[in-house]
Amino acid sequence: MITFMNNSDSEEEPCNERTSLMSAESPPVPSYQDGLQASQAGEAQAHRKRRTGSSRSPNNIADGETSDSGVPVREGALENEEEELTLKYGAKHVIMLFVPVTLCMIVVVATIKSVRFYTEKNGQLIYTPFTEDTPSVGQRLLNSVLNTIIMISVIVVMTVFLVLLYKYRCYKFIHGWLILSSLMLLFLFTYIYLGEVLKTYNVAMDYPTLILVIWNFGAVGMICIHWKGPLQLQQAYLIMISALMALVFIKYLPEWSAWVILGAISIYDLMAVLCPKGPLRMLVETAQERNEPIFPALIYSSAMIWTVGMAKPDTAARRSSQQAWDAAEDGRENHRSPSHADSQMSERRSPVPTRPITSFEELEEEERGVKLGLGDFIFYSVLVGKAAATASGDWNTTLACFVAILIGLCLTLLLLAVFKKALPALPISITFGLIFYFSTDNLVRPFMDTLASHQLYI
Amino acid sequence: MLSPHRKAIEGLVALSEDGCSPISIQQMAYVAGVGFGLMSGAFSMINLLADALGPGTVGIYGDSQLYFLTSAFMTMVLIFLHTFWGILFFHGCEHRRWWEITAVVVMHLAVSGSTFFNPLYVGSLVPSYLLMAAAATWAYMLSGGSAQNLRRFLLCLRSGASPQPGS
Repeated sequence: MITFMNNSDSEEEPCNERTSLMSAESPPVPSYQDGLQASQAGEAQAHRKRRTGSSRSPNNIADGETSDSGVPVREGALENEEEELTLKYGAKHVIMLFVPVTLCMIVVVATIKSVRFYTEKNGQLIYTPFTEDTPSVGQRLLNSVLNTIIMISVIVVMTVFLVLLYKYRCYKFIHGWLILSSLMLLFLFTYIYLGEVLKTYNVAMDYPTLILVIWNFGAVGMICIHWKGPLQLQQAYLIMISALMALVFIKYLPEWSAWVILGAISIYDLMAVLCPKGPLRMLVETAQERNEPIFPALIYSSAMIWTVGMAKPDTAARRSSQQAWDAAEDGRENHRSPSHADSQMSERRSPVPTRPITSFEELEEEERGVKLGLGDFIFYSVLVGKAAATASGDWNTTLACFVAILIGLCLTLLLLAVFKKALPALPISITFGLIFYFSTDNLVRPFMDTLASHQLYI
Repeated sequence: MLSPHRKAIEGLVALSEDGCSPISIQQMAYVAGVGFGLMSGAFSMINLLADALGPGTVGIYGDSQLYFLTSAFMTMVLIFLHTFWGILFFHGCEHRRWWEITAVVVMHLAVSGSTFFNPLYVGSLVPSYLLMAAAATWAYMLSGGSAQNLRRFLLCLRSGASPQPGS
């Protein structure tokens, strides 16, 4: 195994992830009354290539402009109700994000627990040059802090670079970068992963079959992610590449550095998205000015289509009907296939009788859904995977971290509904995750072990 | 005790889609109870299950050979109990019946205390199941159930209809 990457590799760009949750929206129809801000929020994308390259996508949480019900308001008179409506969204959105995050974590934990390769120490990345094999605790701590500083500064530099690229409209460069990094992820890392899984289960596979499998997997993945494809397939691919990336981090980040990096990245994320001069925020604002869609390769979207129906003053209940819907929006989500009705629900929203709706005449479709950046997936999975790999409490700690991250995600979505702007998804979840990891591993685990050995139940 | 609860309800209403609380307080009690139960069960059992996959012989050092079986039953009874306790507790808080809350706490202490009898499983499993039956009945009554409802349910009767042979 290659332990150190060739620095001359042009694809080595450390990426900074931005974690963000965004509510997906189609670009507003021009006749929309305002109340729906531009739904496009760009995100900073940076690629981080490990060894031969790996990409992490930045995540931003964009605000839920129309994250919820936005009943399109034609006239200005209904703006107030509009504002109220945009606050509401159901548990559906939360579940739509819980499922992929859980799946990603399950893949990572299953791999960590079964494939030895990802828990073996085989060198470190160049981004964390200081070793942790030191005789004293203080030295080790110092080394991990230094590693973190290096990693975070690399991330900051790359983010700023990306923002500059985006500002000066070097789209081709960004596209090329993204394509190259997903190529690496989909082909090389999958090849390594498949090799290790086959080794673990002692399954023989000949090279022609391997080439066929990897080629198909990678090619379909590239098409799905960068071009058009069924939404669920695209979602599956994004989950898989996030899991692969997380596994790489789990393998190559030394113990203490990993925890310090997780903490530092959530703080950085908080600042990058919320500070007025933060790079991510500038990126979001630039993208909003230009009304541009987000690069699909870096964001997971749980698209749901809502059809806002005509006003029927007598109907108070929402009727949801599943329809196949063609991708009619420009550029936003072109990954939906007409036949996927699971994640796309077109709902007829009939206005509540209290609102005087006389103004809509036509059907309008909007996409409502939440988007979560891939970097969020990656770091959540890194936390849970590290807990699975290194905790002595085994499954209790893993389960506790998993629940903590889901709770943090839920809270972040709540805040998204309240604040209606781009929010970082990492801080709350990672904080909870770290707290739960250390407290469960050190306090709860010995207690539960003793209880279990005497079969006492509390 | 009520004002944080009211605020929570207001918050949920504000976030709901229809302007009314999406679930009733009883459903919330049930969900809370199930959540507690699932977490308790998961934490009790998951390491056991992971070890069960591996090699070993149960009770080889003189411990009980029924370890896995009794652990499973005990976990099940605790999950059920947590669900029922959730309902009882919420009901007690809602209607300000402190004795209900005290009863829940005492029951929990009793069940946990009975596990001190392990590995004398008859001392822990039997009382726990009896307490579970009692809590189940109580929670069912509090949620609006009655013997009549139960009979109708078991005989597959529609409400208000006369009993029909096998629907």
